[in-house]
Order: sequence, then C-alpha cells, then structure tokens
Amino acid sequence: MNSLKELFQFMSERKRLWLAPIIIILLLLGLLIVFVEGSALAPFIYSVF
Amino acid sequence: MSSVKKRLFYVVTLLIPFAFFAILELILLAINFGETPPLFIDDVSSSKHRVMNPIVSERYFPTKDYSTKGQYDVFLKEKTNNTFRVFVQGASSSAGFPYLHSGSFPRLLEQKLQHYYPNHHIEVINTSLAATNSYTLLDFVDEILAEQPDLVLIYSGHNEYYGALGVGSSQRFAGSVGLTNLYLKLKNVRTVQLLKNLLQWIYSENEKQSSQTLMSKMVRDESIPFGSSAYHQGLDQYSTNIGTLLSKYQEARVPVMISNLVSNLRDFEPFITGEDTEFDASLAFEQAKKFYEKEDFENALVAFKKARDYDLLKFRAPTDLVNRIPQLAEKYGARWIDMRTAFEKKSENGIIGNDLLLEHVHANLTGVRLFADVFFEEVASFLKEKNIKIDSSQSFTYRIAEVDSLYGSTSIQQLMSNWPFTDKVQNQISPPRNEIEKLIAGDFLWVAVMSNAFARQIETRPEKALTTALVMVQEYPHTAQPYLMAGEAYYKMKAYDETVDFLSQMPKEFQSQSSFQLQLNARLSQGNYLSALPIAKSLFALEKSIENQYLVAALTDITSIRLAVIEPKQVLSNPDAYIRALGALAYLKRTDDVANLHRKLKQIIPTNSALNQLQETLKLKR
Repeated sequence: MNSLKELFQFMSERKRLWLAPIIIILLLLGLLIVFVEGSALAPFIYSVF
Repeated sequence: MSSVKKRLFYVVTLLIPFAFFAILELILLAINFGETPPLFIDDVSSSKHRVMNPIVSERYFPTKDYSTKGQYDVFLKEKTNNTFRVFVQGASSSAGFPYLHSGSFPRLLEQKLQHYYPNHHIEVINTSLAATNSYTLLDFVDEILAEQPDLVLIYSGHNEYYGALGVGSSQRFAGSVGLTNLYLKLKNVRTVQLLKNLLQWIYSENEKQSSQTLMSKMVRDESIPFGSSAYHQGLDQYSTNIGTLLSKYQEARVPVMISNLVSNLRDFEPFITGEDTEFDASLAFEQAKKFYEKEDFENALVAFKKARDYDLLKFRAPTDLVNRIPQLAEKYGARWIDMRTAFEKKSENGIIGNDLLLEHVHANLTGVRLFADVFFEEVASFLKEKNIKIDSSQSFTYRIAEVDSLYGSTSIQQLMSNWPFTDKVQNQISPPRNEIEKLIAGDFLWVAVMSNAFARQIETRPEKALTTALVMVQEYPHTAQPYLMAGEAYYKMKAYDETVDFLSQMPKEFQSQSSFQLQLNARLSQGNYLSALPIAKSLFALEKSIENQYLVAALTDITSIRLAVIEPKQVLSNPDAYIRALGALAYLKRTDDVANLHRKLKQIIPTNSALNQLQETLKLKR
C-alpha cells in the first residue's frame, strides 16, 4: 500500500514522462487524420462520379 | 526510496502510455465501437457464397454519405476445381458507370467467358469502386489474394488525382504516399477511429459554407497544373502504389493484366483552362479542332492530347501517367493490354471521341462491349497457354438489360447537366418521375425494377424478357426465381428445347414444381410425349399428388403407342392401347393429336364400342 502511494507520488512528480507520449501520439494521429483525409471539399469531387 | 524501487517506478511510468492505448483499444473493441469493413463478406442469402462488402468504401471516404457501392458479384466460398476466378480492380469505368450491372464490362466479360468455356465455372468478381484510385487498389490486394484468384484485371488511373486520398484531395500533406498508406493501415485501429470521429464532429460543427462557395473554392484549390509538383506527385503516387500492388501479385504468382486508359479527346473540351499561356488547354483544343477540320489527324491527335494534359481539372489521366502503365507491367511481369489502340481503331479517324465514350472517360454501350472484347481476347489467349480449350461451336451475343441501358442514359443526362460539365451547380434535383429515376434516386431497388420490366415484357416482347431474366440469373445465380423467369421467357418465345435445356441445367436445389411444369409444358407443346414422360415422373417424385399421378399415367398410355405412325395392323392387334392413348391425349387437352388419332382409329376400327363410347364422352365428331 505504501509502495503504491509512493508510485503515485513518483508519477505525479513526473507527469511529462507518461503524459507526454500519450498527448504526442494523439496529436500525431490527429494530424495524420486531418491531413491525409483531405479537405471537406473532397466529397464534392467524389460525388461527381 | 531505494534505487531498485526508483528504477521499477521508472519502468512502470514508462509503460503507462502503452497501457493507456492498449486498455482504450480493448474497451473500444469490447463495446463494438467502430468497424473495419472487410472487402469480402459471406452472402446473407446463401451460406455457400461470398460477396464484396457493400460498405467497404467507407474505409476511404470521410463521410458515409459519399461512400460508393460496388457491384454485387457472388462467388463460391469453397472454390471448385473447375472454377476460373477473375478479380477486376478499378474505379468507375470498370464498375460500369453509368449503366452498372449488365452494362459493366466485367459482367459482359463473364458472359462471354462462360459461353466459350462451358465446362468451367467462370467467376468475374468486380471490386471496382467509383471515385477511388491506386490507394484503394493496393489496400485490396491481400484480401483478394486470400480468395484464390486465377487472374487479376486492372483498369485504373483516371481518378489518381481526385480519387479518395489522392494528391488532389490531400494537398496539405504534400501527397506523401508512405504516410497515406500508413494511415490506411492505422484506420483499422479503433483508437484512431475514435479520434477520427471526434475530429469529424468538430469539423462538421464549424462547417457552415454553402455548396456553391465550396465548389468555387474547390476549383481554385484542386486545380492541378501540368508539370506542377502536385502533378508529379500524382504520377509518383500511381507508380508507387501500382508497383507495390504488382509486386505483391508477382510474389504470390497470381497473373495480372493491366490495361492502359482511354479518354475522350476529340469531343470533349477541357474542364478548366488556366492563365498559363504555355500550357493553355483551350488553345490546344482549338488548334486540335482546326487540324482535325483540315484532316491533319496526326497533328490533331497531338494537340488533343495536349488539351487533355493541360486541363487543370485532372479527371482524365494525362499522357505521362498512361505511359507508365506498360513500364510498370514490364517491370513486375504483368501483361499489358493496349486498350487505347483498340479504341482508336474503332474511332472516327483514329481519335477517341463520342462514338465510344459518353463524356470524358466513361464508355457508352458500344465502348463497354469493346472493353469486354479486348479483355476477352487477352484472357482467351492466357487460357490457351494453359491448354484450356475454347468451345466456339455456338454464336454469342452480349446481354444488356433494357433497365440498365435506360439507367445509364438517364444518369448521364443528370450528370452532364451539373458541374463540372456546366458552370452551374444544381443542388436541387427534380423529384423522380418514373421507375428509372426512382432507381437513380435510391427509392427503388434494382431487383424490383427488373422484375417489373420482366412482367411488362413477357407477354409482348419475350426476347427482351429473356435478356432481363438472364441478366438477373447472372446477378443472382444462387436464387431460383430468375431461372424460372428465364425458363418462362424461353417458353413464351416458343423456344421449347431451350426451355428444357435451360431449366434442366439449373442448379439441382432450385428444381421445383414450377420448373418441371414449365419443362413439361414445353415438351407437350412440341408434342414430344416421350421426353415429357420422365419430366412428369420427376414431377410426381417431387409431389405425389393425384394430378401428377394421372399425368404420368396419361403419358405412359400415349407413349405406349407410336403416335407418329399409326399402322392398321398394330391397331387391330391391340385396339385398347390406342383407345387409352386417345383418352390420355384428351385428358392432356392435346386437341390436334386427339383429332388426328381419332380420325385414323375411326378408319381402322369404326365399330369398336369402346372407341364409340369414348367418342361420346369426349363429344368428338362421328
């Protein structure tokens, strides 16, 4: 129990260590989706044929 | 804190991001969030068949509203030894736009292959989807390989710029082929789907622009000048994706035929011309027309090609892209099909125009037949190399349903009255007035319109009804009704042998009272009682009713004598058999045969009491 408390304390002091990868990965995936999926204009081209 | 503990905490902390994504993914999977539609699924109406997933295009389109459906081509789940399985990859041209169904060249190719190779079970499975390009083709390869293809046919390239994920629709990312393919793989991950939905929701909340504004913006944004970086990215995108695709098939030892592309040069003005005087599409088109009028067709062709290549709206594959196809084919051991030359040969003065195409790229029905012919010749030559013999004993004509033909002409009228074929954008489409327009609007199902057409055609135009029914058989080979419709059409055409041949060759599980009854009627109409008897027996075996029992008995009585040659000697030796046969003919309402036999019996045994009694009963002339 004491060790768990210590672990949370450790993590709370080093948020960047575990939060940063999560945020960075989500950000990168978001950018990938936004740029690859293209603009919302694309559907109007698709609808032509 | 001890150094060991601290080291352990570091490990645990570093593992948290991994654990976070793993747990999130597991939760999303557990609650069935999102989906990755597979290319092929089991058919809902038959446990023995597979079919292309109607929602597979959702993989590539930003919203479901714009996703497209492909053809419905069922194929056997368990491939048999005599099956020759061909997959077709491409976009709208090979999907059959604007006719679809029997107006698509893969369907016609299947008809022709099945006709000339009757001992094989031919499956041509069309995976083409409108508005897609080489990204989709490449993404399908592994799933096609899993279905044991014998051959793959490819006709694709016109959508390379504006098709889903093409360089023209994702310019902000500078058209990175590697990242786009990475994205296609990551799309299967539920966490990515969750993120995508979230971003789409945010985007749709902010999107308030009108269609008209979007259209004009698109023209500005999506113009791809000849020789620009986007132009070259499109070419590289095609080479990379098609190259990878061909190498995968080569590795799997699956033969591939890839065709070059045809587009309308002579009768189609460039969509958009820029202000660049060096690459002026309209000017090139005007020059081409002048050359053409002067009958200088060689220079006209060069100028028409320039007009196409300089067109800022790249809906027709430019020469540079088309030229890469034979190079790619050679590099990866695929066969190259020269469709362009075949089209040029059939075009006025050797320049492709409205004689074979409807608008910029899509073929009219003559063009669709030519597509099928050219692919057929190549496939037949491939089969010859495999020592598979062709059976050319019967003549062949393509079957295209009237409904599909009308659907195509109506669709193309609607298409050509809107942007980019005209300057105006029509958001309001007038309400559908007839079945075809309702079919286009999605208010009617194809099967319903086809069935209605059959019902109209069967009495007055049974030949048309037969085409309608046979097209339905091709679409639904795993259901009984279309076979019965075709059998009925043959019968109405008085093609009695064909009625029996067709219905007796249909899958055994579909044989029913109705199919045997039609065959029986055909044989009775011919007066072929000998052939009718086994059909009647089959009918009785299927349903042991009193009517069927009488039917068998009547035919047994009729076939016990030689109706065609009535010899007095034989009649006199066994008059009862002839009188029973007369009664049986009357029971079957065979008026002419009754009259003939009665006349002859009256001459041979005029005083026979049984004959006279039957004569009274049947009210026959004395």
